[in-house]
Amino acid sequence: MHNKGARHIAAESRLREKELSKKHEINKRLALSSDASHSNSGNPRTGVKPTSIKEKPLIEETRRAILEAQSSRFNDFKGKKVSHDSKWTTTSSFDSSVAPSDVPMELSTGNTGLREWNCKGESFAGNQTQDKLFSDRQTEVRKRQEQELRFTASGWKRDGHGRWYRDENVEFDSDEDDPNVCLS
Amino acid sequence: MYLYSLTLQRATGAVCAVIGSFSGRDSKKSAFTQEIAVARGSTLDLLRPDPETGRLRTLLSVDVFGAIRSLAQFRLTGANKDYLVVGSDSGRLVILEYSPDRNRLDKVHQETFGKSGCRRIVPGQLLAVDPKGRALCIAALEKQKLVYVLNRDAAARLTISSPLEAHKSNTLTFALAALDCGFDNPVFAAIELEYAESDRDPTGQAANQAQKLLTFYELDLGLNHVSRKVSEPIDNGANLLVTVPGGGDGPSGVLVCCDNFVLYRNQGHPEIRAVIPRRADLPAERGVLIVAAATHKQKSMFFFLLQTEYGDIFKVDLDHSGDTVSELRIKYFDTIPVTSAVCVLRSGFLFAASEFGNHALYQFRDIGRDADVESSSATLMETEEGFQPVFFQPRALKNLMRIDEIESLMPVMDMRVANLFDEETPQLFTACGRGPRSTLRILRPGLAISEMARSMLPAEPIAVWTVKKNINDMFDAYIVVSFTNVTLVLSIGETIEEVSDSQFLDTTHSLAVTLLGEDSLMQVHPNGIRHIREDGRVNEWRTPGKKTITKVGSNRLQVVIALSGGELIYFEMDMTGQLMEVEKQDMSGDVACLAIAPVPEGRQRSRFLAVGSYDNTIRILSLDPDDCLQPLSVQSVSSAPESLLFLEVQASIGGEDGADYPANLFLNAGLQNGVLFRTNVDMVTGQLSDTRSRFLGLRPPKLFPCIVSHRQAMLCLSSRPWLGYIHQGHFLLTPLSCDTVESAASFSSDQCSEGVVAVAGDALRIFTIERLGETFNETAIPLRYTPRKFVILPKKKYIAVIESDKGAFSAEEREAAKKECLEASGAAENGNANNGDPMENGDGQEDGAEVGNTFPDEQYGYPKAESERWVSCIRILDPRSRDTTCLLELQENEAAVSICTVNFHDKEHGTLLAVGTAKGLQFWPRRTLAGGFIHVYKFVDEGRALELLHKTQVEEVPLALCQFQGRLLAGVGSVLRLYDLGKRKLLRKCENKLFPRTIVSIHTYRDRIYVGDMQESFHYCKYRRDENQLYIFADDSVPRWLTAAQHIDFDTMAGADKFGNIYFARLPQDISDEIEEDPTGGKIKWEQGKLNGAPNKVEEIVQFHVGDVVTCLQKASLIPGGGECLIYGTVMGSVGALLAFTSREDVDFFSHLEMHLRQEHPPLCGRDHMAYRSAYFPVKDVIDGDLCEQYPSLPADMQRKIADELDRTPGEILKKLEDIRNKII
Repeated sequence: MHNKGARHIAAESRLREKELSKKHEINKRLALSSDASHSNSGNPRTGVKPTSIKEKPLIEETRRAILEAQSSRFNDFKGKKVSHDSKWTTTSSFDSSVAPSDVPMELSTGNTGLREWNCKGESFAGNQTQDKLFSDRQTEVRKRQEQELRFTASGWKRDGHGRWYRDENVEFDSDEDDPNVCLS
Repeated sequence: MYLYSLTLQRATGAVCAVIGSFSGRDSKKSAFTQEIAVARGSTLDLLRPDPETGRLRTLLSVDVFGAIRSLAQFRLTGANKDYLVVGSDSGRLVILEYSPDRNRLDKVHQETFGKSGCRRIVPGQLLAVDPKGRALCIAALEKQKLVYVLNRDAAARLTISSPLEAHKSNTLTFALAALDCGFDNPVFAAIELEYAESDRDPTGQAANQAQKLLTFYELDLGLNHVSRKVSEPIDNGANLLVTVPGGGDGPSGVLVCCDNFVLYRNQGHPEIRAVIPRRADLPAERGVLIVAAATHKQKSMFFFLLQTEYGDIFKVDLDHSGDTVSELRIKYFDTIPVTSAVCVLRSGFLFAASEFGNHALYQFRDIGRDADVESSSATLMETEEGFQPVFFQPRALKNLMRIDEIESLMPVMDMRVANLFDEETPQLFTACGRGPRSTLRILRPGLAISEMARSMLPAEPIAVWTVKKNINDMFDAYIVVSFTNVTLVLSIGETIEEVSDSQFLDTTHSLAVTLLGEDSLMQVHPNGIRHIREDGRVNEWRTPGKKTITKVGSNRLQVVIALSGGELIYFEMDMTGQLMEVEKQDMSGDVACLAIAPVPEGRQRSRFLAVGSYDNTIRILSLDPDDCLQPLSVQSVSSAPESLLFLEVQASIGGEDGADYPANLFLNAGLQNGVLFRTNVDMVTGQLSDTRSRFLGLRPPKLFPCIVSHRQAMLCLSSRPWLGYIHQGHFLLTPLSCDTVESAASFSSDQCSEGVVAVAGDALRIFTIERLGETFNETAIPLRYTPRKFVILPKKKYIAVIESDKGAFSAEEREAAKKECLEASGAAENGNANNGDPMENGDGQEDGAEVGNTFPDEQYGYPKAESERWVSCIRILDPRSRDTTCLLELQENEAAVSICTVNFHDKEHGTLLAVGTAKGLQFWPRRTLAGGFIHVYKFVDEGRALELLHKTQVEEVPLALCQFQGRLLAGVGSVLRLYDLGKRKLLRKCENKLFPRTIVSIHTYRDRIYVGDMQESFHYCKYRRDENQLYIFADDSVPRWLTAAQHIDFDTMAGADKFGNIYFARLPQDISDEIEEDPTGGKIKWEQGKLNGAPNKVEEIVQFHVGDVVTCLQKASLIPGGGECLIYGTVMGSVGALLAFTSREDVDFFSHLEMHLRQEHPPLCGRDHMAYRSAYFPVKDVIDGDLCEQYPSLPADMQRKIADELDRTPGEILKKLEDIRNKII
């Protein structure tokens, strides 16, 4: 009876959870360690991976993401290039291979779209429309940023919760737009 | 950065003026000529009125590189010319002598007595000379007085003694005069105030009881000693002393001018007092002060003219028997604008050196003998409330008549350079003057012309000539106008009319028409030469075959023609007056132009013929019989020549308007690319040297000879006309302010002795050229009150001006008061009403006002209101039509102080006008104010009118406004604030309160804001949108009282301070980069300040003492396509420019030239040039062009010496000076 007691069950499940998480952690480490990459020889694209990734995986990952974001911006400005597209596919496949390993990654709002798209990005032909979609989102983001700037410049401030409030030293018109409404 | 400083327009205001016979006895006439010496800050001018034309002529204008504070003139007994004594900031006493034959002032004596600079106890401010020329006294405002004994040595040269001291410490001196006591010991009188006791007494009682004293100082010529003889208490309002003639001519003594009174005082004589009549409309609180005085003395009588601070002139007479004065009478004389000095000339003129605005020359019509309002010491009534005042009404001029005016920009309040009229060169718009004499003046580089006649012709002419019938005639006889296929002859008489009996061939067009020999005329037309003899015989020379004449060159005795195909035929006039063919020559190609040099005096023929060809060469051919038409020299030019002209400069040994220079022959060529090419022709060999070229305009210049002030000059007609002439020894090439002219010729007739006849379009115009030697000609638009600032509205090219005055009535109140006054008086009082002078205070709307406008305010000044009253208006002006399209008078004691145009980002209203105002602003006893406002106006009626959008109250005076990123930046007291446009007022969005004093200027560039503080120079700020914050990231470590500011580049600002310095402040490049590369913005936010200021400091990279308060700065180019320079305007009404050097070589050259000139040609009033330009800060990287431009006025051997040291020739130096001047203007 004792074993079937609620407390015991809870303790057992906790233990199991702990083990599971430990296992996950080990799996993750294995997957990222050099041994893991060797053991994962079934993946044909591992050879493509740069060696430096093996050293500092998380940082490299972040760098790569930033690089992508940057090059995507570059892509945005300079127009689309086919050579870029092919590169994109390789990266996306690389990403998809890594993504399942549940690496906790902090991505900025700007990069979320990229990630999503990267994950979805499978077909070569669909890339151009995807690209357009991506740049649209980028401009949307920038527009939003500009809007936010406009509100800060006209005297609105944000509290800890991201809510907008009026700076007490600044004067406002009676019918001025409220960013809490406009931007939500 | 190295700069070249050049004054474009010398100071036009006047500090003081004296009259004297500086040139001595005129050799031609036995009478003494009188000149007026006028001190204009750092320039000394010598003016002479021309009794025939009634115009004032500037004989000489010298830059003395020092501040002239006082002038006096004296004459040694028995001598026949006056010396000029100059008190300046040099700490030296300088006595100058004018030498009329060389037209220059020479330093006779220079006595050092103190430190340089305008100091409290260093003499220089006050100057008095014994009327018999035996001694002079120079005094400081405090303590020091020095007396010099003047005498002459055996060779009749002026000698000066070592100074005798008459110092008294803790004593202020208000005025100084020398008594006229004949040949007794010289006596000087001074109004003094001792302050030692007041200084010691902390309760202030002694200060309240302080008493002014009239002190007499006697110079004992026997003992060579100055003693303080008598010191008597005097009215505490005393401010001015006027010498009363003595020594047999009068009672001696002084007139003491006090607040409301004039007293007669002398040693041992009772005081005689008379009240100064008051204007009827003057508020009771205001006193009447005398500001200027002049004495007129004839053999049998003398009188004084005293001018009050309101402009009224009173004639003062003394009734005396021997040395006893029985009565002092003050009689209203006339009213003229307030002066800083009045001079009465013996020839019956009165020169009024105005305090602000134009100076004037008046002629006496009467000396006030008619009955008029008069006050007298005999009728002075003392009541319980004080002395009984006497009232009068100012009236129109009765005793004086204005005959000439000298333009004065003083003070330049604001300036903009813009090309609003779409002319070739931009115009300078200056807001000048003060109170009712304020004007907006449009300055155009160039000489003014005044058109005398304009008549329409039946078609468009191509050329015009004027000819005399006889070489000895004074005036021209015919104007010959050539059209494409006809020639029209007009005779000049009372009127100008067409004649047909002139013998000229009128069925073809003409190529040249001249007087040949003594009295025969020549007309050259395409098919031949028509020679018309005096007796009416006509000789015709026909061209051989089918050839036609294409070009002609001629002088009085020689003619050269070029036939089509390039053949030259040379004719000469023989003894019998026949035109004889002398020589023929085939040129290789067609001839582009021809010119023969004028026949030198005493010679048979000229030796030089210049031939311009289409192969871009100019050849000089000989016309001597030995080597006729043989080439002497060749000059290649950048483009084919279009027109040639020889200009002969006769030798000059100085004289009234010339320096020393030898005879010279210049060949001028107008090239097809619009360049005027000028070269010196050797008078013996015909070799060409010293070439100069200058771009004149888009059209090839056509050259025509003309006469300007009795000398040969040259008209160059390009896309606008230019005049090349000699003025005060310099060759000047100046544009004329008129439209394009096709062809021109000199014109001389009964009505106009030196004019120009020109054809432009289908009009024939006759005009004269005025005010030679001036850089700008001006057009004035009168304004209502003192202009404070103005902006140019870019789209419509209108000008928005803010004007304000203190202690005056608004226009409506004045109108109402005038009406009331007229109704009350009914008929004419003083015989002055209804003389119908139109009101001249400026706004077009008032032109139609009632007829009863008696006094032009410009002359009489505004009626005075209580001193705390402000009147102000905002005006929109169309500079082209000179109309005021909108005038808003501000109400409720508000005064406009700042103005700017602003485009708010929401674009609902387009461009708006923001005006900062202050309400109830008082400066005394301390600065107070009822409130500040920023008015926002929108433009209606296509920008012609304004409509108030709203008005925002601020807590301090908004002295600076500027647009920034679609918002309005305002400097409100010491706070920099960013405003956005709201529905009912301006919305404060962000502010920075860290500025030290008061913000007076704001400039913006990208996200940087350059703020000028009233006392603390520049602050560089940045606005961060993401934080909505204004940060000061750099400032100046030097305290500067900023009067003007201008943005130069991203890191550099130019500023001027109230002590007369111009400086450039630059943020060092590395700091600038650091600030721009601050992505997080943390550095700018958290950086620590240095020296109680911003974290970074700007460097002052340029320092220059102008010597005059600079009120406005602007970066602009005054020549089409020229580099930008910094233009400034000053309180004394001068305009100058600073040009950045582009090559190190030029910097070296000019700094060496400057160095040599400093050594070899020290300034006239004794101030060291380097010390003057470094008066407050050591001069840095600025070369004084005004000093360099004195090089041509040096004696020739000195010029050569300096040139040798610089490894150049004097000609090259002159060319360099000319070049750099041409880069600026």
